[in-house]
Amino acid sequence: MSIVDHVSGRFANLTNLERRTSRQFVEGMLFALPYLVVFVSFLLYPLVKGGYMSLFEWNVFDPSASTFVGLGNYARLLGDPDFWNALWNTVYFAVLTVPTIVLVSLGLALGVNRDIRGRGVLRAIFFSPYILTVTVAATIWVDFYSTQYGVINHYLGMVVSNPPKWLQSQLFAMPAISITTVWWLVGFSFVVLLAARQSVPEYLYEAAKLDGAGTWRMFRDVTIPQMRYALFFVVVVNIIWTFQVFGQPYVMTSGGPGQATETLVMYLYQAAFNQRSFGYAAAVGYVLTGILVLVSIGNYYFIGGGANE
Amino acid sequence: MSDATASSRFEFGALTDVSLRSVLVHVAMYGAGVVFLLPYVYMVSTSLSTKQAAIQPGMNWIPSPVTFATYVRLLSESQVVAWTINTIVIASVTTFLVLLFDSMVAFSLTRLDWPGQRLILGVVVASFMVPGFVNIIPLYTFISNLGLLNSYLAVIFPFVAGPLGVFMLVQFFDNIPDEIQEAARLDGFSAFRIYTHIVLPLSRSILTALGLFIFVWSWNQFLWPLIVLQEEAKYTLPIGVVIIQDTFSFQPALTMAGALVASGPLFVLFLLVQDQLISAVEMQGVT
Amino acid sequence: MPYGKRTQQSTRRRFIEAVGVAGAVGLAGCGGTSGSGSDGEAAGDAGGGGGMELSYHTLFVGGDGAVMKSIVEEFNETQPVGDVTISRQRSPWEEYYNQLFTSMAGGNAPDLAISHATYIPRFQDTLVDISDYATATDGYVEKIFGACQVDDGLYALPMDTHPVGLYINQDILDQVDAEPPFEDFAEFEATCNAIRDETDALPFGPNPVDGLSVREWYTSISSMGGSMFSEDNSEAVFDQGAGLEAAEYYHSVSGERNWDRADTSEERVLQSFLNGSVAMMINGTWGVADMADVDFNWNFAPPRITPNADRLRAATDSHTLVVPTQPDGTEERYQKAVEAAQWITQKNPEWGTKAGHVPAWNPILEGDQLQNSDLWDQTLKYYTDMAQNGQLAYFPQLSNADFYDASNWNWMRQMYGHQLGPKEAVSKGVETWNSNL
Repeated sequence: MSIVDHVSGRFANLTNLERRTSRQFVEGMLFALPYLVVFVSFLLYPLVKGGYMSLFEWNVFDPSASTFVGLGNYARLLGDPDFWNALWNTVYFAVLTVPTIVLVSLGLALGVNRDIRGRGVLRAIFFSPYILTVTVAATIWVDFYSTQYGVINHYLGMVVSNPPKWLQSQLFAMPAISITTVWWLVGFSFVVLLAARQSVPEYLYEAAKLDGAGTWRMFRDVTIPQMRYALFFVVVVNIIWTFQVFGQPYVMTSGGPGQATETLVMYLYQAAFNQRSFGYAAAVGYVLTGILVLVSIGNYYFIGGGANE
Repeated sequence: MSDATASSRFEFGALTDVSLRSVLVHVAMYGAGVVFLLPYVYMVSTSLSTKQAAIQPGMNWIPSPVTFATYVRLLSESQVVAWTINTIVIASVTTFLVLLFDSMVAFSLTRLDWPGQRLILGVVVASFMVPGFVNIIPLYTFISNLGLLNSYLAVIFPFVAGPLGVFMLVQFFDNIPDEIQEAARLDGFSAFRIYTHIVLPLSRSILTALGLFIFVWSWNQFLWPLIVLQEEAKYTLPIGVVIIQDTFSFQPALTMAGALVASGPLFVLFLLVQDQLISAVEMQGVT
Repeated sequence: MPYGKRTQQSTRRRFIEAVGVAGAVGLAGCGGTSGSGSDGEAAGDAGGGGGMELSYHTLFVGGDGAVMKSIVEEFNETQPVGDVTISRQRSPWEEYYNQLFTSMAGGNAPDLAISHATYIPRFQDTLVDISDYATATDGYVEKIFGACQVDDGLYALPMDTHPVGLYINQDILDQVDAEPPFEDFAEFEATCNAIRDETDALPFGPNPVDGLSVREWYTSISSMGGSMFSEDNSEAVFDQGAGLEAAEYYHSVSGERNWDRADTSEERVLQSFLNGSVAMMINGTWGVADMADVDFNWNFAPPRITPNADRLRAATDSHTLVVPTQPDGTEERYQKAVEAAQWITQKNPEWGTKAGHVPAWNPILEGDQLQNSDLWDQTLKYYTDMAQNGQLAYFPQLSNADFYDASNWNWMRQMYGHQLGPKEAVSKGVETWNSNL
């Protein structure tokens, strides 16, 4: 029997279901393949390699000379007060920024959605900060926050006698960075929520009006539920971005004053490039990832529950 | 038809309410618009100031005299043209590949049915939470071993591997009603035809949005291209713009001018795409 | 929704086109040129084909960058060390060392690179010991050359030294009849007090970028004969003695003395100095670039700004040229790289005359070109003087910490901004540094 006969004989022996399943698998894989190839090579493989590295005192220049430390790096980071400080700062930043972005972008999206004059221009204005590189956005705002020469204190100083030294004050530094981040990132969420709002069918609102619902009820019972997927997406994406914040504090405060704005990724960056402990940096990265996974799962249960139905 | 009468009936019925609310909304939106614009005004105004004027105390929103000298300097003293071309190529190819690959895989993971897809989706979504820095060294070594260093591909491939697009498209593809797909299957449509004739057209607005985001994001990347590109002529705009600035000389006008030049094309692109975005979204809203 | 055959065909055609484009781009990308270690065609700043092309990474941008560019262009035109050309690369300083580090880690280091002298021990493991290749090194300034030698090996060739000094707005000083240079701190103090009391300007802002930084503080510590770290650089010791005194002094500058505001906003002092609201500041040799088009008369003096100082010192660092090791490095290549480095550092007075740095090569340092340059009377003669009198204080060379990283100096900014007292600040500083070392 030739190979072809052998194989086709095999195929003929499968039940219809098995044949269909294996064809579906091939079909599915074909579509998924291009992305998966790139994903596995350029993201997954380095990631796994990083995980491997995190078990070592990694010697960057001579990898074979690295010393195996098992979970030593992880133990080290759990015992490092700077790590906990960075974690706390990052959580604080996320708590300040994510709700603000979501609420502001939702408000802007709903506002622009109305029959308002000049909405094309408004749309462009609200989205546009997103197109700036982080260093540009941060640099402009550093100028804005300058105690003596900045725009904010220039006008604030006319009203208040001693305007705060924004980026140098323990109290205001993180909120200042948060405001900058909101201005910078809100455009993305704004467009997503606007698209979602505009795809809510009008008849639902009409039905609600006929039922005698006021604005608030319509908002709560039609708008929000219909935009569930988009809202979930926006919340998750912003959480993930804010937890990974790096550029803004790096440019604006270098983690200061003291270490009040040093975030987790900055801490990782220090470990990697300042202290050159790549194994340790990889461990920090993994812990950060773990935190984000936990947060996302929690998020899914509290907000997104049913979103994927 | 019925929509028009229904809404006008509503408007007529609560005229004063709507007017007040409408005014408030207008005020709030325009106010927000002004606040959002301030940094831009600052940027443009500073970049058009002379070096002297830019460092004076006090607020000078309108520079006097207005000078384009900074821009001239920017254009003549640097490889801005080369950088722009590099950035355009990298951003365009990345966007194209992301739209293509991510839509294919999202389609596969949500509209098709095959074993293992849950797992793969889980892994891809989980990878979204990985901070980029962790990967830098292993990724660099890998790319170097492939001999791709200093090429466009070294920048493009890691960008295309990003899961944001997959994440976004999965959410939206999931939303497509099953009935449409089942009807198509009954008509004898292959998976490929469903992909090209049903899923893609329905997703025009999200694909446009995703394309814009990816284009902007890959255009603005700084650290990775800097690490992996080894020749000044190959640099992208975000890197090039920082090169021009004197590290130790205070030149706010130059900084702002550079920033404008590096972001200008993106802004133009957004204005162009914005129209398409609107019509695609409006079309979807009406049907 | 059109389902016709025509749509299907155009879709397929578009798909094929797309694949073709991606393929073409892929091929173009693979042809990436100018890796290091290739004896192939010249590119970038280099001249015609053939011969050896050395890749050279620098961190000089702006004015310095322009001068280095012309130096490299001259090298490629005159080809002084045989059939060798240089392909120059520049990156912004903030990211330069990270980029260099990653390229070394990936086995793709350039043939030549700039390194601050402070960083030499940090990179030592990846640098070639060039003692055997560097034949013509007798003319380098001794102190600077010493900084390039680590553990009996030679790891760099020095190009310059760039100390700090006092930049002065002479117009403001004229208002109080002050005439720099100052003989001692008492004179400086009197001038500052006079400016504070009799003019609208603030007398003294130590650091142009963030109020106070390591350069001024280190200058003061060294002027009092103290040091930051222990002998072997294993421990930070600046929470007592000179370190503490210097901290207290600067705390008072923005405090009791009222010579400056307690405001560490970025670039505030530089902006204030340039627009005439601050009279004096400490800046390095590169400061001349900022002075190019100011609208007041400016002056310069050695930095006698420290109370209880028994000597004059100016904090400084050097730019040096280093040769990273290559996985496939050949003796011939290293030899040529070193020769090129020697040419760059020894044959180019414009690094001093145009960029304003103090050359590290004695024949240039003592030569006519330097003394006839525009910058000589303004700043160079003072700097050169200090260099030749051994009054330069080199930053410590640490092998396992990044000396310039801003996050290591946050405590200093907090002190100058009066959020921390001097004692608290320096003990915090010692903590930060000890955890690094």
